[in-house]
Order: sequence, then C-alpha cells, then structure tokens
Amino acid sequence: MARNRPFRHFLVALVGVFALAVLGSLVTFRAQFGMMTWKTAARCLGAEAKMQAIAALPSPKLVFIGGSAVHMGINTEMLGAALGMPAGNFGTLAALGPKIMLFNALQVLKRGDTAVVVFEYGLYWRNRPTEAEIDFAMGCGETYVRSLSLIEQLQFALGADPLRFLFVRNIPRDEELRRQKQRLTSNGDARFTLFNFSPQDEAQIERMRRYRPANTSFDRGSRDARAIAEFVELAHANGINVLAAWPNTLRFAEYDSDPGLRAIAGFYRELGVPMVGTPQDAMLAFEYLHDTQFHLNKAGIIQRTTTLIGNLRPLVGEDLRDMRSTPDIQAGDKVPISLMNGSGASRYHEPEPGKASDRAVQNPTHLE
Amino acid sequence: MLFNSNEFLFLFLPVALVAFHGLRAAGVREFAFIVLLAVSIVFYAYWSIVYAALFVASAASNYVLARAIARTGSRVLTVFGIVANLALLGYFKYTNFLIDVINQASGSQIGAMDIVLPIGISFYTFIQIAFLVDVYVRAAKESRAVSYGLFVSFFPHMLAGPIVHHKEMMPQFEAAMPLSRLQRMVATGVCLLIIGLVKKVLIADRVALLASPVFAQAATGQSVDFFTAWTGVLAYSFQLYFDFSGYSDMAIGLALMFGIRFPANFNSPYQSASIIDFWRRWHMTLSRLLRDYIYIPLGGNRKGEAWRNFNLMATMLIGGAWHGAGWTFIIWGGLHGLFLTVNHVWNQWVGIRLGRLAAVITFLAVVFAWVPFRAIDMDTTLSLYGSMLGFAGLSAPLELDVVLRYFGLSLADYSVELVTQNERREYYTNLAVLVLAMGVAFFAPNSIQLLRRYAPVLGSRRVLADSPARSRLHWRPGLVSGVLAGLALFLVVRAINSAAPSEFLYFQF
Repeated sequence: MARNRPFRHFLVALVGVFALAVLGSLVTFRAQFGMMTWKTAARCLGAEAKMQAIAALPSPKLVFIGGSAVHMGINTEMLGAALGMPAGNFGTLAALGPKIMLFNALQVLKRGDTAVVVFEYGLYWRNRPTEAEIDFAMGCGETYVRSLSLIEQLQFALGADPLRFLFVRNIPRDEELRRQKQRLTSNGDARFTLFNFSPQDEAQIERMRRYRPANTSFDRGSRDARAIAEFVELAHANGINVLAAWPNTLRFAEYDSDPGLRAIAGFYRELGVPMVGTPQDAMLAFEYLHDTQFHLNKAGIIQRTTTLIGNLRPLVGEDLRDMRSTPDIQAGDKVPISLMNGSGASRYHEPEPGKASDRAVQNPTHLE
Repeated sequence: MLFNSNEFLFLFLPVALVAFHGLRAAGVREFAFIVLLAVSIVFYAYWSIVYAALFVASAASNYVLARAIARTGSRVLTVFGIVANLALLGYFKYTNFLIDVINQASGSQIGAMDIVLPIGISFYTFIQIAFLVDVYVRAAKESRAVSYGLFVSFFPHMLAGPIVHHKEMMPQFEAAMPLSRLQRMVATGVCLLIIGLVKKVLIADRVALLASPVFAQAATGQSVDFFTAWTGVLAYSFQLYFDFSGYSDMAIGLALMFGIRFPANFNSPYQSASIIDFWRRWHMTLSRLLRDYIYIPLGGNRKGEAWRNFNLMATMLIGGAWHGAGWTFIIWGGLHGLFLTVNHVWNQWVGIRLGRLAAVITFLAVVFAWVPFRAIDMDTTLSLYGSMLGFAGLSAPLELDVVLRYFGLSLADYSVELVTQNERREYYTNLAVLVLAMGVAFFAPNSIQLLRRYAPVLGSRRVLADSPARSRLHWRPGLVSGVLAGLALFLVVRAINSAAPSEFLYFQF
C-alpha cells in the first residue's frame, strides 16, 4: 500500500485543486453578476447608452446592429434623414460576438422595425463565447445568462477569467453612463469629436498601410451562425424585418474572389434575408480609415453612409413600406417577451421620456 | 464526442470509469468489459448513430469472418474479407476522388456523390484487415467476441489511433490489470491525459490560428508573402504535431485509466536525425502497420537496393492515399518515399555524418512535405512553395524593422517587403506560443520520456532506448505534481469553454 501512496497523493491533490478551481469559478461567476471592471463598464454602459438612444426613436425604424464597424462606419442620422425614417446605430463591440449583440438588439426592436445586421468578417465562425462576451454577461447580462441553457451557463462560468474579481471596481454607474452618452448622438452614432476620432500616430498609420484582407471564415454550424439564424427566425416571427449589410472595411482586390464572402451571402439568402448592396460597396480606400481596418474617419463614414443610402433606397421603397402597411403588424408593437429566449421584460421598451432623445442632432459634416 | 469537451471530461469519462472499476471491484470482471464495450459504442454513436451501426456491422462481420477463416483456413474467405473491408473504405473515402479523376481524364461530367466520411474508418478498417490476415497465417488466435469488440472499438483509440495490434490488445482484455496497480495506472493515465490536453488545447489550437488563414489565403489564389508563408507552414507543422501527439497522449492516458497499455505513437519526431529516423518516431503505429502489412509483403529490402527503393516508394504512396483521397496526399507520400530513398542512398554511398545539420535538413524536408499535406490542391501547394522560396521577394515583419532601426539598419534597404498583421496583439501572442512549441518539440523530453519510470506504453524500454534514463524533468507523483496537474487541467477546461475553435486534425483521415 505504501508504494501507492505517491499516486494517491497525486490523485487527491489533482482532484482537490481542480474541484476547488471549478467550484471557485462557479461561485465567483455567480457572485460577480452586476460587478464591473473598467473594461466591463465601457462595454456594458456603452451598449446601454446605445440601447437607450435607440429605444427612444419612434417606430418603425431602421436599427444597424454590429460591432465597432457600425459604430465607426455608419451615420444613421444622415441615413435616416435621407430615407425619411428614423434610424439608430447599435454598433457596439465585435469581440462580444453576434449572440449577445442580437439578444440586446431584441430588447430595443419593435414590430415593424427593420434590423440591419452588419457583422464584421470574423463573426461567422466561432463556436464558443468570447472572453468579452462572458465579461459583458457578468457585468450586465444576468438576463442574458438566464436565457441560456444550463450547459451554456456552465460554459460561461468555466470560461470566465478566474482573476477578474481582482479588477472589479466600484464604478460610478450613472456618471460613466452619462459619459458614454455624451460620446453619442441621439441616434447612437459616434459624435464627430476629437475624443471619438483621436488623431493616429505615424507608427499606426504605417501599420495600417500594410493591412491585408481580413479573415472571412464562415461556418454554418458555428455558434455565431446559429445565433444569427435564430435571431432572424425570431425577428420574422415577430414582425421585425431583417436585412443584412456588408461591413465597411479596407478595399482589397482579393475580396473579389473570396469564397468566404460568397458563403456569407449564401447563408443570408438561405435565411431569407435580403442583402444590402455588395461587399465591394462597403469597401473603401486607405485614406478613409481611422485607426483599424473596420473603423472609418469622418470622410469615410460620410462616403460609406452615402453608398448605403443608395443601396437601401430601393429596399426601403418596397419592403419596408410594405412592412409598415401590413395590416396584422402595427408599427411600434412590442416583441412578445415570451419569445425573446425566455428573458424577462425589457426596460428598454419604455425609456424614460426625455432621457435619451433630447440631445441636439449633430451635424455629421462638422468635427466638433 | 471530443476528448477536450465538457461532456467528455465531466460526464462520459467519470461515468465510464466508475462503471468499469465499480463492476471490477464488485467481482464481475466479465461484465465490466461488456460495459466498456457498450460505452465505447455510445462514444462513437454520439457523433452519428447511423455510422455507429455501420461500425458495429463492420466489426461483427469481421469477427464472424475471422472465426470462419480460423476454422477453415480458407484463402478465399480471407481475400473476400480484405476486399470487402477495402470496398467499404473505398466507397466512403475514395468514390468522389475516383469520380474526379474520371472526369479529368475523360472530360465527363459525373456529379460528385453526397458521402460523409465516417470518423475513424481508416483506422478500424486497417486493424481489422491486419487481424484477418493474421488469422489466416495463424499468427492470431481466435478470441472472445467482447475482446475482439474492444480491440476494434475501445473508445480511446477508435477515432484516431494509435493503430493497435490484436497481439498486444486482446490479451489485455482477457486478463485485467490487478486492482493493486489501479492507483498507479490511473494516476499515470490522468497525467498523460492532462499533458495531451495541454498540447492540444493550449498549444495546437492557438498555433492553428497562425496556420489556417495562410493556407486559406493561398487557396483563394491570393499571393502570400515570404514571412507569412513560412510562419503559416511552420505553424501548421507544429499544430499537426501537438494536435496529433496530444491526441495520442490522451488516448494512451485514457486507456491506462482502464488498465490497458497502448503502443507509443510519437517519440519526439522533430528531433530526428534523418528521415528514416523520423518515420521511427512519427505516427509509429502507422509506420509499423505499413511496414508489416505492405512494405515487407512487397519484398522489403530482400531483393536488392532498387527493389527496396521501389517498395519504399510504393509503401509511402499508399500511406499518403491512406491519409486522404486527393493528389496532394499522394504527393506528400511520394515526397517522403523520395526522401527515404535519398536517405538510404546517402547512407550506402556517401555515408558522411552531418551531425546537427542532418536534423535541420530532416526537419526542413518534413516541413516542405507538410505543404501539400495541408493544402487543398496543387495550385495552393505551388503558390506556397513559390512564396517560401522567395520567388515573390522577401518580406519581414514591420516590427522587426522598427527594432533594427535602433541599430542603424533598415530592411527596406535590402528590398525586403515589410508586412504587418491586422490584429497585432493576437498574432504575436500566437507567435510566442509557436516559438514555445518549437522549443518544446526540439529540446524538451516527450510525454513518454517524462513518465518512463511508470512504463506508460507497451515496450517503453525499447521505444526509449536512446533517451536518458534519468532526468530532472521526469514525473514524480505526489502532492506537488498533483497540484500542478490540477491547475493545468483547470486552465485547459477554461480554454475549452471560451475563445478558439477546436477539432482534431486526424479525425479527417
């Protein structure tokens, strides 16, 4: 028996440490609901500021959903004015992944609205939640976590950063939310301020000149693609129109024959989601980039939005007006909460009057 | 079900272990093995019930056939068995390739068939053919159905090897490990399982993020620069090694937890001093199968030098085709056949020892051959070869140039194109993991060496004859190593629950 002692010690220590670590993960995951690090605050309150802005817009409206390519690529105020219908910018952070972005979007969409999904390349193939998604869920996504299956909840708990609690701070929520709102227009667009569009140093510009085509991987069975498909199904069932647009990015000739883009187009076609324009319509020259391949500067945003208006005009002229006149769908009806992944009632359907919509409309042609 | 999944680690494995060892402890050993057979089939059926049925049908038919051959000694039945097995494999694996070849040769327009390759079919077909042949030549004994079923289907090896041999497996399923050695074998097995998980989840999956985009870029006809091509191909070389050797470690470790020893499958192949040496260290169980059932029956080296070279080339071409239905795999096999021939000719006619240079040349040759192995077609292969050989010019990372400028040098002065990555932080994190992986593969002892005192594989002494018997890095069971293993397992579990995707490369073969 003594010969077996080291093995027994090894096994006991292994199982003990592992069990403690797993248990610790579950406990700290649960205990950190609602707690934020500074990074979480930027993610959560940035999204909340946008959701409040969009919820304040009258329906039927166009809502552009995506990562920072939407935030720093589309001016929905300019677009809404040109198309004659309200439009909102729900561009948050691509690292969150489509699933939670679309869950949040459902909180602010109403019957008769049109969701335009504009996901960056790279949001069509992952099978697991990203660290940003888990962090977001811990900071402000308790409802989201509860909507997930038990297995997925376990996956979140085990995938969470075990040292996150060290960086949790008592963040002045209202003050931070106010700061986030100040960076946005009443439509949720990034204000053209030097704060949002800080000048880039030479080294970054040098790097950007050497960018290459983005990874356009697509996997139909991935968690990302399934989340999009589920959203489309749910939206259609609830009288929400869905369009898909290509993300603004740097132009490369290689994209013209990229099979990934064809796969993405095929995916939306299969879902019955019309595509807005072509990938090339959303591609711009280097001088229109701000600081990454997906972020545009002011001139780029105007250029991109102008093209998008042209692409959307025929769709708004037919589909969306049809949607507004469909007798069994009354514009502005709320999405039945029971269909939203079993989540609880959304506070975004009834924003406090005057909170998010009373800011002055920004002139997109001027940098403040 | 993947070994690196929550459902396997938290549900399947604990249930299987408790059921098996519980029944053994309760004194119903025979029933324990029946349960092990059942859980192995459940493991396969988790992927596809239809293909699990196909697998069971294949195993049952081969068992019945083997009994008939043992009874009658019939050559006809043996040939029938081999042909039937090859026909099954051929249908699933090579039908569309054959259609493609016919279309290309005749200009016909035969449409491809919608066939899904059953996972592990190459593995279970080959071991069953080997069994039928050995029954015919009286090298295998008739066995109980449960032992045969487990030999073919024991879940640790059934999807991607190691390719086990009936002689080494059947006796282990007949006489179970004594309970007094249970803790030792389970501890050694868990240790290997964790080493394998670390290799797969923390290294291979990370490094894959450097490799996959490069091959995808080349596949779409885009030109790949010199630096990126080398990074991508090197990344794939180490992804494949850590992925497959990690899987083998997991399989060996899991088998040990059930009291079964597998043969070794990897022995630091990137430390090989020659291509001949490489094939003694890479996918060792496949090499053994090819040697015993193809190379030697073809005549081996018994008919002179020229025939030996011919037999080597034929064996490697078949080995290439075994990996996949496509010209790129056949070219990979052909390249290794050529390398082996050159190696033999060099040994025989030149004989100069090149020392460490030989290891470098061997590694580069292996890396060179991985290009067609991974590329989807010949155009992609040639495009990457062109980039790696500098036909499209040289390139280097912009960040290197920034560093060199401090020393008054600039790569731009030497017509070197400076390149950068769109997502720099992620890229350099993955690159750091690649460098670490290279250090481990080139200089560190492998998992079998680390655990050599506890004989984790069959014939450990023979396999590790040329490695040091003692090392500070050898595993010492106890509290400290247990704590470290527990933390490593937790890191693995954390990694498999977020971020990068994961699949085992050898499942496709």
